[in-house]
Amino acid sequence: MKLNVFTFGAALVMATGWAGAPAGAAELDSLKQQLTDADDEKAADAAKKLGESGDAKAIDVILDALAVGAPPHVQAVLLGDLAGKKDARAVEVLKHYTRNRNPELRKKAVIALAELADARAVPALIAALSDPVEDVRGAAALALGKRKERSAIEPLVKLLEHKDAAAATALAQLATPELAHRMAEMIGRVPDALLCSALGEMLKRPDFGPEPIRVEVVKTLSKVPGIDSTSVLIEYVAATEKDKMRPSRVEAQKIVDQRSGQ
Amino acid sequence: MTRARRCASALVACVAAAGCGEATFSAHSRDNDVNDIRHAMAMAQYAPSGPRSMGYLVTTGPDKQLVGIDLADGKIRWQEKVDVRSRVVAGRTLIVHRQGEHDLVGRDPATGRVLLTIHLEPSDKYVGVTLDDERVYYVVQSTGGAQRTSSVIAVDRNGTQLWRMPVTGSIGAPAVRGGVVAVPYSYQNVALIDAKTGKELARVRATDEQITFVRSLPEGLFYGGSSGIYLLDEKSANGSKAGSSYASVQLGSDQIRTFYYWDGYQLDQANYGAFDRNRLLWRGEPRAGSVGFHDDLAILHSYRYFFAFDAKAAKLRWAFAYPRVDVVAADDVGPSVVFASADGDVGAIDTATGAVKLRYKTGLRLAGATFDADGFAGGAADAKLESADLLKTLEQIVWDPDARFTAVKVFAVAAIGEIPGTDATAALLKIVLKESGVLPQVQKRADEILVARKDTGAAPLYLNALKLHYDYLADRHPHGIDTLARACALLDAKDAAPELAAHLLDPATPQGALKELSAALAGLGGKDAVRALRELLLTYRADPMFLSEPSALTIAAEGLLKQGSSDDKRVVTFVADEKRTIPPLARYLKTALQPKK
Repeated sequence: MKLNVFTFGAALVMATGWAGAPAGAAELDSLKQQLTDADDEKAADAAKKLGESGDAKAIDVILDALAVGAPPHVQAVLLGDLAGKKDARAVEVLKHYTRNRNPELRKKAVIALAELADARAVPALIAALSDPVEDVRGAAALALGKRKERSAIEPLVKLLEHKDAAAATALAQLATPELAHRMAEMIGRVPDALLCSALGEMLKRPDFGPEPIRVEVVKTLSKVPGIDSTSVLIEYVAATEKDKMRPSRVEAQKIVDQRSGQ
Repeated sequence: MTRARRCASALVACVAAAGCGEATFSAHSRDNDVNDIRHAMAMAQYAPSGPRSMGYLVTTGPDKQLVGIDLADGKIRWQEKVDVRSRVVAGRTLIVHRQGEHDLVGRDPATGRVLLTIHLEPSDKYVGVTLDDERVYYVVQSTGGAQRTSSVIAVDRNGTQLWRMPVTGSIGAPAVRGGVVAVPYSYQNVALIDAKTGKELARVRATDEQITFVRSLPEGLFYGGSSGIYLLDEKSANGSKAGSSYASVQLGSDQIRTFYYWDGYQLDQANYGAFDRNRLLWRGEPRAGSVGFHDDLAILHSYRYFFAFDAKAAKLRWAFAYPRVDVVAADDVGPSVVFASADGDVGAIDTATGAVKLRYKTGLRLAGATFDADGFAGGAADAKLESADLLKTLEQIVWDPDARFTAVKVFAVAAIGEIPGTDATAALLKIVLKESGVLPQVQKRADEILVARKDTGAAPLYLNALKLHYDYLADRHPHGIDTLARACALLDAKDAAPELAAHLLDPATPQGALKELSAALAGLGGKDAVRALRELLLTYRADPMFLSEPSALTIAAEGLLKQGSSDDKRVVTFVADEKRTIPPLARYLKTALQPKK
C-alpha cells in the first residue's frame, strides 16, 4: 500500500480509536484530550502547547491529530508546531497538507516543509510552485531559494515569467552565471521591477561571480530604462563603496552618472 | 358550359349575394361561412408567371440606395439614391415601397424608374402594401382622439384611388391573390375583399389564436399567428386549429422562438429590422385535405445562421453559418434560400442540402433586401464554396465569438447531441472542457447532453481529458471535471478511478465538483477510489467549508460503506461519533449506520 498519511490515519482509528488512545505522559494525554474540545480556542491552545512542549512524544500527538482531521483553526496551529519541531517524521503529513483545500493550511505546510533538511520535501515544494494561490507559491519559492535548490531553477524561471514576485528573490539566491545570462534575455518578458529586483539581489550576494559576470549583470541592468534599474545600480554602487575599482562597480557608476546627466 | 356547371355558378352567385350584403368590415357580417369562403377562393386564383430572379437591396447610411440585382448573373441592373422607409414589396410589373415621410412609390422592377407615387395623408401611418398586375392595395392607420381608424385602399397604376374601406379598429398588412385582397382584421379575423370593388366577400374568424398575418404564395393563401399557419380553404370555416388546415413547425427545442411571418399590425415590422434576421422561412402547400410544409421543410434564419428542419420530425437536416456578419434578409423560394448579408453578399443556398449554390459580392452595406425569385434554383452547388457538413457547421456556430447568439448556440449544442457517433461526442467534450470563451448556458447544455448520450466509444476520450490536472506554471486549468465524472460513472469506466481520485483530492478542483467526483468514485469502487474517499472524509470531516453542502462527504462515507473494507466502515463510524465532525455530516452518518430494519 502506498505510504499515505490518511492510510495511517485510518490505521490509527482501527488500532486504538483516536480519542481514546492511551498517551504517554499525563500532560500530553491531557493536551491530546483538549485537542478534541468542542471549543476551538481551547483546542487551539492545546495545539500551541504541544508545539512548545519539549517532550519528544509531542510530535506523535500532533501528527496523529493531523492524520484524523480537525477543524482548520486547530490544524493551522498544529502545522505551525511542526515548523518549529523540524522533525523529518512530519514529512508525509506536511506533504499531504500542501494539497489541502484551505490555502492557509497549504502555506503553513510549505513553510514547515521548508524547515526540514529531508530531501523528500523538495518535490512537494516544487509542486507547490504550481499552487493556485500566489501566497502559497511565494512561500514555496522562497523556501526553494533559501535551500539553494538547483532542481527548482526551471520552475522558478517559469514562475518569474508568470510575474510572481517571489520568484525573483528565489532566483537571485540560486543565481549562477548561466542563470544570469538567461535572466538578461528576459527583458521585456517580465516586468522591469521584478527583473531589476532579481538582478539587484544577485549583485548583493558576495558569492556571486566571477567579476566579469557581475559586469554583465550591471550591463543588463543598464538596458532596462527607468527608475527600477537606476535604484538597483545606485544601491550597488553604495554597497561596494569599499571596493571602488571593482569593474562591476565602475560600470555601475558610469551608468548612474550617464543617467543623472553628469 | 354544362348544365351542372351553370347551376353551380348560379348557386355561388346567389350565396354571394345573400351572404355579403353588409358593408366591408361591418360588425354584423357573418363569419366562417363555408359558402362565402368557397366563393372567395374561387375568385382568388393564382396566375402563373415566368421565372423570377430579382433581388432589391436597400443600403445603410444617410445616402440610402435602392438596388435591383439579378440573381441569375449577379449583375446590378439599376441603382437609385432613395429614402426607402419600408420593406420593398415586389410584384411582377411593379415594386412598391414607402419613400420619405408621406409617399408610397411604385417603380419599374427592370429599371427602378418611378411609375407611381401615392401621397399618404399626414395623419395616416403606413401599415403595409400588396399589389397585383392591375392595382396597389395598402393599409394605413390613423389615430384621432381615443379611436384608431384603419383603412384599406386600392389605387390603379396611375395612382388614382379606386376604393377606400375604413373601419374603427385595426387592420393588418394586406396580401393579394387573384382577385381577392386578404387582410388581418381586429386580431381575430381575416377579411377577404373583392379587389375590384372593395366589397368584403368572406370573413374567417380564428377561434384559437390571434391572426397577425396573411401571406400569398403560388401554393395558396395562408394566414396565421405566432404558433402556426393556416391554409385558406373550406375548412377555414371551422375557425379552430384542429378543424382547419393548420400546421406548425416542430423544432424540438424551447430555446428558439418561432416567428412565422411579420406581424401585420406592428408598424415597425413594415420596415427592415431584427425580424428580417430572425424568422422561419417556409412554403406551405395543400396536402391531402389539409396543409403541410413543402418537402416538410422549415428553415430557421437567425442572424447569420440557418437551420433546416424536418418540420414534422423535429429533426435537423442541415445547418449553415454565414461568416462574420448577419444575413439581413432571406427567403425560401423553393429550390433555394436566397439571402443578402450585411456586407453586401447576395447568394443562394440549396434547400435540400444547405450547400451554397452561388454567392455574389456587391460590396454594398445592406440594411435589408426583398426577393422576387420564386422557383429560383441558383444552379448546382459549388464545391468551392462552403461545405454543408452538419457537425462542422454546428461547431462553427457554437464557437462563433459573437456572444449575441446564446439561444442559437444552445440550440446548436442540442443539435450536435442528435448526431450519433464519437465525432459528435468529441465536439461536445471540447465545449465541456473549455475553460473560458463559452457561454455558461451553452456549456451547461453540452454538459447535460454529453452525460445523457452515454457514448461507450467515448470512454478513452474521457480518460484522456481527465489526465489534464491543474498546473499554474503550465497554464493548465481543467474544466468540466464534474461532467466527466458523471459521464464516466454512467459508463462504469473503472479505468477512470485513479484520475478521478486525483481530481477529488486536488485543491484546485472547484468545490462544486466534489460531489460528482465522490459519487463517481463511490459507484466505480476499487482501491484508488476507496483511498481517495477515505482521505476526503478524514481530511474535511471537521471543516466548516462543507457545513452548508456536505454531500461530497456524505457520499464519500456511503461509498466507503459500500465499496470499502470493514476497516473503512470503522473509519465511517469514527467520523460519525467524533465530536468535532461537522454536525450535518455526523447526523447523516449516524442515521446511515443504524441497522436496517
